Amino acid sequence: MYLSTKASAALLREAEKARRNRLEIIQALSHGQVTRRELFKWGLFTSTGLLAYKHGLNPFVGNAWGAIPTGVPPSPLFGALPFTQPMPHFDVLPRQPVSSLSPAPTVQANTTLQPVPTSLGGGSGPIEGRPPGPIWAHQGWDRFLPKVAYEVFQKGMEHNLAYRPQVPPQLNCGIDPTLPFQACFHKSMPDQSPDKFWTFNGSLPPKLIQARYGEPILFRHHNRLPVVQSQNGGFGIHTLTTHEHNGHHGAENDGFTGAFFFPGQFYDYHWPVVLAGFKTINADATDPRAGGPDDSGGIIKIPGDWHETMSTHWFHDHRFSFTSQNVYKGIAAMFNIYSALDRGNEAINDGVNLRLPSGTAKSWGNLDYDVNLMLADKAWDGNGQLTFDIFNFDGFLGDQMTVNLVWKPFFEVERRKYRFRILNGSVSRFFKLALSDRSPMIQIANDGNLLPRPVVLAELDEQGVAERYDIVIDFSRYSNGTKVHLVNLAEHRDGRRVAKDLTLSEALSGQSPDPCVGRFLEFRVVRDPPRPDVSQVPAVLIPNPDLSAVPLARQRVFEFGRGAKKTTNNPVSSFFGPWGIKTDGGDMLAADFGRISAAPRAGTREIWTVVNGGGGWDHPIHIHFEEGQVLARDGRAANVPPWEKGRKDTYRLRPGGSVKITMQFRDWGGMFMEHCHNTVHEDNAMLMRWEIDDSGAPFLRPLPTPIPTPQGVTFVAPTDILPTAF
Amino acid sequence: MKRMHRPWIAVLLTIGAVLVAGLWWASGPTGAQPAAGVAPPAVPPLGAMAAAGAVPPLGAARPLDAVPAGIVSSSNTVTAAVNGAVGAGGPAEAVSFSGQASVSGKVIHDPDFGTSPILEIVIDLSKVSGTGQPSGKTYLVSTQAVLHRPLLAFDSIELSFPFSAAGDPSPARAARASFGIRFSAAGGGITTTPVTITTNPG
Repeated sequence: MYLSTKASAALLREAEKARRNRLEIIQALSHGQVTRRELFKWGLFTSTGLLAYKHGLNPFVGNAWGAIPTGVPPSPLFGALPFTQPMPHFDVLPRQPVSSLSPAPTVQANTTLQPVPTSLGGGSGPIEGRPPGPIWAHQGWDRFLPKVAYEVFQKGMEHNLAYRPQVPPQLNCGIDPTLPFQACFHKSMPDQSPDKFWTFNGSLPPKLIQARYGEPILFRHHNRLPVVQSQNGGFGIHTLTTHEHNGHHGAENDGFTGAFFFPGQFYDYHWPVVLAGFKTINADATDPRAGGPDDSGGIIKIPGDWHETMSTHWFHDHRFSFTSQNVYKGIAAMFNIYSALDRGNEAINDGVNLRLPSGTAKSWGNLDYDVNLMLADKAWDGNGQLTFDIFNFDGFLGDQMTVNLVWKPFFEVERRKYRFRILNGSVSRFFKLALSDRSPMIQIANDGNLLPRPVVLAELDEQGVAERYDIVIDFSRYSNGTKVHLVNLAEHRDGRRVAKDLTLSEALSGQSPDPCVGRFLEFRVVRDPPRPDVSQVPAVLIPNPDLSAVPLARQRVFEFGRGAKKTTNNPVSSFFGPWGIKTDGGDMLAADFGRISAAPRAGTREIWTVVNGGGGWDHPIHIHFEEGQVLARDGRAANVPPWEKGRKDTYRLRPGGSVKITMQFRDWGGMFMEHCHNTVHEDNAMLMRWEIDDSGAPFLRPLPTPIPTPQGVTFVAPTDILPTAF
Repeated sequence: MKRMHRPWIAVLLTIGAVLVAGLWWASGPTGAQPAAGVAPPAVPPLGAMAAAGAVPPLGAARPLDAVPAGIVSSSNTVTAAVNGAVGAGGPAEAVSFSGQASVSGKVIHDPDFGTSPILEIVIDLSKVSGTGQPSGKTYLVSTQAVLHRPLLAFDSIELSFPFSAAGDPSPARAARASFGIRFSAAGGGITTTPVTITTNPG
């Protein structure tokens, strides 16, 4: 992991030298001056993908360094002390009329030409990076015409002059939103330079979209990153594809890993925000439980299965083989979905609204007591600038904890119930959370889906990258002036898995070699609530949809392991790395987004078993598009813990473990993905494509693979179709 | 005349060869895709696929959905007696606990990297209940916990868990369960000490 602050000066000097040497190689790699294949050829990587033991490059090399878990110098703190700065609420993206977009959005990609900079090859290319033509046209466009637009610009970090927390300052630790919000992890630390940090709209805090069922969204994402790839601060790539995790919409809006777009282009994502099953269940939209909030406290009824209601999503970059670097650089935001059941107003008592902690000032979407938390470990160099090391394919670990992209903050709370939507936004790190006084928390949702029943816990389960746990903490048990902390119990030694789940006593002892263990967020109980807390945590939240009536079409098995083969050679769609996926007992294959590994038929249900092919690592496996229900762990239904008995989209396999899932495939089609959300594993070939492409027709038709260039997207036939795919 | 016919024969042979090659190619790896307009065969379940050879078998001993051999060396579940109490605090009364805990241990090896094995521990306290003093009220515990710890001959486990009065789960309190886990390489499984319940340290 990271060198101790007590390490000798000589050791730190050597480690810094090694880090700089590695940085040079990372830069050369990210600038396209060398390929990863060449690094293997030169012997800089071992066959297992680890950094070779070369002096001046690998900190393990030499004398006593063998005892050092890894060797990056600790991130300097510039005199900052923990819990001395407030944690900001997310920055809510403004809703815009669709008519404000220019040019107006189109069903198929807008291929109007514009000049392409010479650094991107010159000539001309389309203004929209979405693959052209009918296959990538917005599905369901006419039925779900967008009613609201969000227009965002991906760019380098600058001060935020338009922070919109959408809560009064007293509920945001006194932060004055009219003042510029700084571009740093702590006010004592330097601002991040624009090439190091690439966020939505180029600023902090992280952004939040407040969506509601029945209100389709047009999300126009402009790529304003530098046209010159070398202006990347040494890591990250300036091409983007945005995944709304885990939206139920067509694949053209899913942020397919190979559908990336270039600087100067935009991509229109159409997120219809529908309930799954809208074609067949509650099709006449009569059930009041299936709906979204209107602007006067009522419900807009929509078709679909209310059991499929979702609540807490996030969206992030999904660029093939660069996801870890780009997400680490800040391309991550959250997406709250409000519904008839989860209204975001705790006072509305209409027999449908669950009245979860939120607030009452607005008819829906109150954030006063409904707080998004994005947890992410980061590291920075001697100048305080974000740094990343791609040379360990096991995973990247930061040595500093951030919440909402600020370092170890405090958050002021009133003596009442709060809902926290906790996202693990790290690259590789797992968390395991508890309160420092061992008080109970109520878990109400897992991966954005409200559980059938709330689960009361004093220690949450491990939480993998991309998993979301919504919890309720009742601060009324504390007196004003109390401080209580959120504590991380999961100790890492490397990016492969949790080395040890510590007891709270162990985590608070300060003895862990992992600097991200222990207290990282301080809750300060500052006052009684001005109004009585009328929020509730009902005994029943959202029961699971009943899939038993949907015929089971088939079963598939995916094993996630090492030693992958690279069997295809398309330079854009294929990638080599030590990780891979074995489908239905076939070869362990490295990623190729041109390969079709599975193709479930529309309207069917399947059972997928995801297996960990090793014991030395864990993988949070994300299956796009469809929510699944966990039928069994390690082959037994009794092994499924209560907090996993709802719907999920990311499944922690656990070391040496397996998870059996049931899912149905409906409403939308196209090419989707399944991958490890330890994004270093994902980027090093642990990703596969699956697709739904019969669109109700009595035949299957493998979709052509998009190959983007600044001058336009071309299509090629699939590089491979696994024999068990169809 | 013979010379005049030979070019036609060569052309026909060439066309034939191209057709055969094309058919062969279409039936190759990419030929696995069904042609447009042709209904695919019904898809059998996994077991049938494996039996039919559609899925290459990995070896008779290993079902497709099982973890590879050599990773999990032992897995067993034991029950442990639970006893203890938490003291009164503020308006909350004292509660004495009894019952049985279920503790499962799974030893996981890392043949790829050769790191030390770990123990996955699943603790289920759902058969533990409490009695309020002096009210006699029943308190329920529903906690499950999953922990990953380095495999040791003996490890001390400490777990905070919530409990609440039956029928009133919202104002839950928390207590601490402590016990030891022994692993016997000879026996290949875990045993535990009794579980002691105490008040959470402040």
